[in-house]
Amino acid sequence: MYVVELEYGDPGLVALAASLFMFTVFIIVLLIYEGLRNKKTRFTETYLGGEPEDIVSNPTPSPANLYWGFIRRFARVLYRAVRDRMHTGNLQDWLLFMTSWYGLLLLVSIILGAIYMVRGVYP
Amino acid sequence: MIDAGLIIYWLLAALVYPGFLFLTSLALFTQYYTRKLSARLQNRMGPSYVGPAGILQPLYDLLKLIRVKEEVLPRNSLPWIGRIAGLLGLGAAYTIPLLLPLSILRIHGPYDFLVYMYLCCLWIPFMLIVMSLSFPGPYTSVGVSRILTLVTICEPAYFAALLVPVALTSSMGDPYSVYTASLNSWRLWLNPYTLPLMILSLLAALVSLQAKAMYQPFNIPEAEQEIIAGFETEFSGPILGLGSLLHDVDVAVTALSITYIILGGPYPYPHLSIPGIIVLIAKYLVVMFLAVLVKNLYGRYRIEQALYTLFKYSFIPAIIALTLAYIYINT
Repeated sequence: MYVVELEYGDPGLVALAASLFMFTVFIIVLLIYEGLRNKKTRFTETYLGGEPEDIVSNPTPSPANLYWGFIRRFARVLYRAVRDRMHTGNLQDWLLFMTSWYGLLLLVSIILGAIYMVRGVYP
Repeated sequence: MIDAGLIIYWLLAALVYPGFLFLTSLALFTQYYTRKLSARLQNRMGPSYVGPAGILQPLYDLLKLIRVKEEVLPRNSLPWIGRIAGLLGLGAAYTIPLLLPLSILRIHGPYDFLVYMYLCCLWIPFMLIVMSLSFPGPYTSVGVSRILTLVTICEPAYFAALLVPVALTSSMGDPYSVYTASLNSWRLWLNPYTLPLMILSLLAALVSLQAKAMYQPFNIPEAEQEIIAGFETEFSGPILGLGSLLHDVDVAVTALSITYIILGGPYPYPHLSIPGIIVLIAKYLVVMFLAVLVKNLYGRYRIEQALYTLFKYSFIPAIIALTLAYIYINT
């Protein structure tokens, strides 16, 4: 009743229909927005809290900051653990770190192998 | 074969319901509800003068920004990319209700959950980021790096939280379908085995909503005063209106999705019945009330505090609920 259902068996067609609808809406909102918006523009310097642009070497910081911001802020514990245990400058520390991980992976593979041999893939 | 009726429904869905007109009205009402409720919680008046009880204030603000204010652009900006990104983000947001049983034109099928996530968790946040980077500046970059950092936890947690009802209802219709989950998730609240999973899923989704909406304590990407206005520092006039509308539509769509996919929408009442509509509106308002309450109870977190809170109260409950859901499905 007053509803049209487009039911697809293939998820790809669902994605295609949704994308087509998205494009339709994009065109509609583009026309509305361009019809409504004030076309008057004015160019200024980048806002730096009232300071002139020449106090910074580059008005746009490097994209690498996004990566280091994430690593240093959120993954700080992980970053420090890796730096203090692995990158100490001592080769033995590096070897210990790497072999302990490989040892863990070996242990997991042995346990999974044993489970596979006893029960099969689909028990 | 495409018939004229389908084209009319297609255009009606895009322009009126549940597309442009409906979702814009819902987003602006949600902004009004948030502002009015926040004001009353802080013993202020809130929007009062435009329209009855100030309800038209967000529309007036939007029209003022788009129609009246001039666009002030930094010299190295790319305004047309910002505009296109904002409008594409809006296009994605207006498409999402088509996957829910609320639309007059419904698109569904197996695994449509992935299409939902593609639109909701990729298009909207990344278009907001592209919009922001089109008007570059040091504060903008800091804001964008904070959005990206939040997104790394918030979006997977939201995905896992919604996957719980979607996976549990997979046997009731199309597998991994948002549409099937919306029609059947209310049954999961009545089953004693799935009830705790739904509570965990709801908790995780509500915390994710708080972060996606960038409400306190997760308002770190804009961090007013600390980094001026963060990702939207260089927005002004029409582009600020567009960014603000995209944010409001994103909040409305996320709250609507939680209302449908986790809380079951109007069910157990039928969809187009009066009690069904009342239940649907009540659930939506409760979801937004909780978000506004938390917004007013907390101050801003630092980025690492926010990430650990998201991890603890959103990601972990969602993963536990998901693991238990798959154990339940396979037993």
